[in-house]
Amino acid sequence: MSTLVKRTIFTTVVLVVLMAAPALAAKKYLFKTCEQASFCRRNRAYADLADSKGAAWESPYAIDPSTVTFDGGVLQGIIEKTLADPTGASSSVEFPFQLIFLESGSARFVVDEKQRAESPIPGFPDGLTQRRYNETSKWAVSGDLTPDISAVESTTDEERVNAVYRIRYGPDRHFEALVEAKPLQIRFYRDGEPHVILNDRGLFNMDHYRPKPSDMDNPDLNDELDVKDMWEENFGGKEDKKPKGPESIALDVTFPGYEHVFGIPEHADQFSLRETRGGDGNHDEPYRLFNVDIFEYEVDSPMAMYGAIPFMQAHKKGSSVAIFWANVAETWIDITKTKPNPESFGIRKSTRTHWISESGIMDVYIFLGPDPSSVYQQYGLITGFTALPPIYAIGYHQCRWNYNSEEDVLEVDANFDNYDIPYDAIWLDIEYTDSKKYFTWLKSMFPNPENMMQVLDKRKRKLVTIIDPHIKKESGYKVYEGLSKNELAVRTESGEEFNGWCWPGESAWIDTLNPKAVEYWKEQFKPGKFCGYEDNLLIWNDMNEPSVFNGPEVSAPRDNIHYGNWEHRDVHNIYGLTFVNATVQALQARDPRQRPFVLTRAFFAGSQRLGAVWTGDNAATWDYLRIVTPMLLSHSVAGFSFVGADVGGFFGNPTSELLTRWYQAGAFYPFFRGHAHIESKRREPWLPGEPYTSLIRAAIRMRYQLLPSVYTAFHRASFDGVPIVRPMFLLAPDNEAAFGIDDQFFFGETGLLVKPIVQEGATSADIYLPDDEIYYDYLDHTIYQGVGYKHIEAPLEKIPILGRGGHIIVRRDRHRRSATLMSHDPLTLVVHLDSTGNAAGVLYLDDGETTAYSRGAYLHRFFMFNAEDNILRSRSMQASTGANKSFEKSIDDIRIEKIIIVGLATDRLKMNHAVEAFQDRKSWSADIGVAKAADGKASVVTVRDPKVFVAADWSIQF
Amino acid sequence: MKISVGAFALALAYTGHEVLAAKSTHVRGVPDADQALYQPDENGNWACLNHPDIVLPMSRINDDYCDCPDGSDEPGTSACPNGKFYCVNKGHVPGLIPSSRVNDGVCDYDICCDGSDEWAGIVKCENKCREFAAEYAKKQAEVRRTQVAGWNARAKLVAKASSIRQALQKELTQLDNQIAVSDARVVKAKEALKLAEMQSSSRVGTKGSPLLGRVKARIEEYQKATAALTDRITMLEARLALAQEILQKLNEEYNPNYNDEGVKAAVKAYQEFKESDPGDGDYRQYVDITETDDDELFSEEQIDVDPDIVEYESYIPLQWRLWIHDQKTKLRDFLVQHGLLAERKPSGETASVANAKKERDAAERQNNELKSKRENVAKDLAADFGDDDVFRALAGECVDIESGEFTYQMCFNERITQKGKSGGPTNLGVFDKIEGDKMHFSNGVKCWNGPQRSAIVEMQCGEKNKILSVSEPAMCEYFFKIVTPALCTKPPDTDTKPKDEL
Repeated sequence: MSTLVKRTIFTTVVLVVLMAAPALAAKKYLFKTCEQASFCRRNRAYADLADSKGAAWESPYAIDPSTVTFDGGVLQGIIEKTLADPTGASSSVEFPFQLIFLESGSARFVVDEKQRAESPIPGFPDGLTQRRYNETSKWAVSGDLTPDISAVESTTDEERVNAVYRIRYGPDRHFEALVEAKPLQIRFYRDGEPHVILNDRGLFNMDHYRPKPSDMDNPDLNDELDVKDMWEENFGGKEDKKPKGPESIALDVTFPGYEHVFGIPEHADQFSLRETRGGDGNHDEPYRLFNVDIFEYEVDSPMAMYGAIPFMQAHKKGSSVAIFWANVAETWIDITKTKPNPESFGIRKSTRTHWISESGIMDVYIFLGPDPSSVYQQYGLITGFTALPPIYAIGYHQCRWNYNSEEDVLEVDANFDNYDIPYDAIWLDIEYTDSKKYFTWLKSMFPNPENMMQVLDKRKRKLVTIIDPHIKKESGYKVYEGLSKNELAVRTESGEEFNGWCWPGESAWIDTLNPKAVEYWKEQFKPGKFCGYEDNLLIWNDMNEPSVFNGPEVSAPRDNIHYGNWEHRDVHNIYGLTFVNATVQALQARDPRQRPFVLTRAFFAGSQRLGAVWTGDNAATWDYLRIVTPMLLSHSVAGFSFVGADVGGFFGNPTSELLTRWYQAGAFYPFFRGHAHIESKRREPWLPGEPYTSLIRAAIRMRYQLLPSVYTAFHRASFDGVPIVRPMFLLAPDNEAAFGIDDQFFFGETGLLVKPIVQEGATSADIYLPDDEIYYDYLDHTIYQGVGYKHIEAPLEKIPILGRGGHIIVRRDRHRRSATLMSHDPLTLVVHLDSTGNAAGVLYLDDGETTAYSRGAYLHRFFMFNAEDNILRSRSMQASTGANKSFEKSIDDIRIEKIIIVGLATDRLKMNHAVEAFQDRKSWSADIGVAKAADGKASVVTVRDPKVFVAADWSIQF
Repeated sequence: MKISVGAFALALAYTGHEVLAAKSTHVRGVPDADQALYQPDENGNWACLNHPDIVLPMSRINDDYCDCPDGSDEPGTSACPNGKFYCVNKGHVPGLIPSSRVNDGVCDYDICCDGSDEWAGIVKCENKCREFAAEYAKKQAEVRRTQVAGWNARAKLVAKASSIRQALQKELTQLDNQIAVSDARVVKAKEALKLAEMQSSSRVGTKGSPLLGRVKARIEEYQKATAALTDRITMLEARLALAQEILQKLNEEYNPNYNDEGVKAAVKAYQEFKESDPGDGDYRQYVDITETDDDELFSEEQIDVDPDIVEYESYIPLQWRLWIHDQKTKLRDFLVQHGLLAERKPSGETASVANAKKERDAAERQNNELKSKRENVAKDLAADFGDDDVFRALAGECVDIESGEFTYQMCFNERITQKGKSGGPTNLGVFDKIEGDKMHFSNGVKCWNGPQRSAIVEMQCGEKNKILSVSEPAMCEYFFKIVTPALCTKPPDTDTKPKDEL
């Protein structure tokens, strides 16, 4: 075949491929690769150089042993960088470090740059803070950072001579940090075994401040591998002046013996992170953390997305550890895995990571587990736990860009009732405003929003309106005028108000790092100012990466200036969080009794304390449905439990089958919202018609039925950080085959193993049982047992869900029009007995909307079925206080109306037709229905109206 | 005072028999007519209404636990998912509310004006039936009034439609007559022309006409001009293709999520430009003709014609013919002015032919006009104008509404337009069909990144034509609600005042 012909065929193939998938590719050229970000390029090259030298690599960085002290839980000293100098004279730069052992049991490694932290540097650019950015903790950290004075040094004399330091810390001082001065390295041990190694490969690197060389063509920078773009950088025709020059930080972190690492959202990629240095199935680019408005993002990609949580968990059989890289500048993370050494029996594959950030101090937290739950708790004790949402927030949300008018909103609202589908909030995207001016209404379409909200309020439903951080620059627009007059907007590098383009056209961006801007924001939400009826008006914060249509990478110029004279580059990844923080504070100020609800698109570590997040602008294809599950898992392990994806897919038009499958999956997303682009067709649940509408109704109702369990799971996440969407390794921490499984998950405390169907036309699924426990089909009670894949039928009307034995699920089976309207309904317990005949479960209940729970007004109960005596018991899990007594009294009429026991040995029943209930020193009998085990299905015993109360201690003898 | 659900259920359960015995006359949530279905059998039991095999003690009726798959044991509570609760609504029409709305804390006055759906006391719903009944009566009267007035208005429309139809039929008959006359005229004119041509042919075609050389030269000039134009067109086409390529790239790669008005306007304009492409109109075939080897055409042996009879212009494409004709006239005028060419004189020999031609053309034109007119009338008569042909009376009638920033105009059987504060009207769709109570308009102006605009008009009975509302449920798909007498049905003769149960 001639070359010409070949070329033609190749071209044809390329064309066909391009034509087959033209619409759904991110505008890749809009976003940087590592090669295009000079600090990433330099540090990657540095890593290549070090790795190529292997054992011969000598890092210029080492601790000066004469500076090392240990006191009050803090080991500190100076890391010195020796500068290569062609004249032979040696000079050095000093980087003070602290290794802080925290009372919460974790360790924290902080490195600053001495000259920038201390006396003024002559010639440092005017108008900028000289220090490296060191306020990440102010925003991301809510926990106690007090050093643990009980941490002890256990350095031996010999070690001291060799400049090696050993500190024991953590619970019962089971943890140990071993610090070596040269080569600089910190190893973290748990019970004598190393789990995390900082600077294992000697990639620790910090640019130090230097004035811009006068002759850039021949700069005196012999210590640098690559001097290009150090003082000025261009991308996409946009110039970054970089007045402070290069200031990146980098560190390598090795997880010895760990084959899997997880976390560092947000990426549309598999859950177990891939290697990033090429190879089959790997990425070529590092994972990037840089909040951007990425339009039609790619799936299976390490590209940056809307949010950033630099938290990485490493898990292996018997152990989980993690690190948190507390840096809010642009960050890249390279991941490689070492091959197991065949010579050395028992040495397993290790994961090596390389963290590179553009600016700021180095601040790394090390969490030593030992198990996943402990890791999540340790991390939560630093960055905070999920805010307990109001109950309506975990119902179904109906959104569209846009519902166009009050009539439109009320018609959609009425149709939910006409079609008997529950929902809790209807959302208004940007078109409700007058010319995209937030806090205004397009009066021609929304002449009387108060009335609309009152109608919604009748069924206890909410209205969520979008409010973004860009404020239209228009004279006469009060919100802008006040912002501008009081200088509360982000500034340009020359100190002027920064103006860029977003939805409204030319806009300014509120600088919510400024406390005065937060106060100003609060004012805008004062009762009567935005709208006359605020009882059920909640807020959606979008575009807070920030998205700037005409900015570099669709965001703000890095040399913009924020409050505190920090450059935007220093604070980029935290900006979105500060904006949501302002909105949450504003809602709290508006009504301190109500729990706020704010949805955000941009986020950072700590955003979980403020509200919910969704995965941004996806599309109505099966690929995007598939990628949701791993994304939810990644957010969840990184502390952000309240996460969801646009059900149906934002762009494009889903087929009725895709829409149905997406609702079936979405019913198990912690945040459950349908949303659609302005150019897509309407797709509210009743529009696809039968059989789809009924199947969507059934999926949404299943979610509402499970709300007591979902709420209980949120409560747990809010105090110990265990996520709602749970990876296999949380319940089966020792099954290595299950670590990488990311197309199914356990749902909250229920033991429900959910496998969303994400293939077109699928009528069955292979669901993986990660442990030897007994599993029951949630709907027909078919028994499955034994580790491995089980084939399960899944026609369109069925969501593959198995109930793991040992769990008690609390439900409310009566369907109502909204979550709040269910609050007086009786409860149903579903008991899935484990292979030993036992089961347990928890219920958390409060008023679902106010902050009274934080003062004790809640109910927390424990249910346990004991195989030994065949008794199901309800016991309180809370101390008896005035507040919980009065809450209990307010719900003392709520019964358990039904109990369903699955998997009971029916021959052990005391009576064939009844059980005996005990409560308040009285006893009575309740009827039961018994379906004996048969045809591979478990027995089901249904207790009819046992007349026991949810707030009381009781027991039922079977 | 709050009565708890659970407490009530317990009380009912513990003392069920007594309670029911004492007031066995009434089961909550069941209409009087159906109370008889809730009688105990000889053993004091009761069976689910649609499941006679499920037998329950009477105490299990309305005990707030669902026993019957059909929900029939819990007509008065929210226990069964599929039940219905009957509200008496004394003083107003009774209502049936889904069980899921019983005791949920919402006063569903639209169905249960007596507030009886919230009997458990989660919320206090006072009886509002008096207001609702009054309101209902008012509404019913208004409905009745509208129906009567609408029906009368419709009768007028039907009458109008009928007279339009008659007029059309009459016109059709007239046209048929006229066409017959016209056909005859055409035949006659054609014969006359033939005759005239035969008479003049003997005098045409002087061999070696002195003008022939000049004609040839002139044609050569035109050919040169044509070639130059062709080159220029080729060049312009290439440049247009380049510009289109640039715009196509913009069209494919721009980011519709970003609100860059400049880019959006450019893309929109480009798409409309593409839409309006009149097609190639392949002029090259004509160019080919002008390029034929015309030595042959003008060889003296073969050709002997009067240049005025040789209509060489007809070889040139229409678009160019005018231009060439214009140039030719100018050239001729120039030559005449400068004495190089004699002034043209009408030839007596050809005048009769010309006149005959004129007559033939006029006759054919008239004939075509009449036929196409007839076709239109016939089509109009055959069109579907709904029941009683009623929409025929409305065709072309327009109604307006202002909504948001726009004024919308809907003209029956024609089109819908949207007009902003500035700029001309945008076509939202041309009338397509009537289906039931809906009119469909389609093939409006294409959206810049979407489909061609279209609209559905949902009609209901009203006294006058009026647009009630406009919405755009999906981008570029409009939905109108209108009232029109055309949709009114005959009001029942009986007095339809609501039943007064007081």
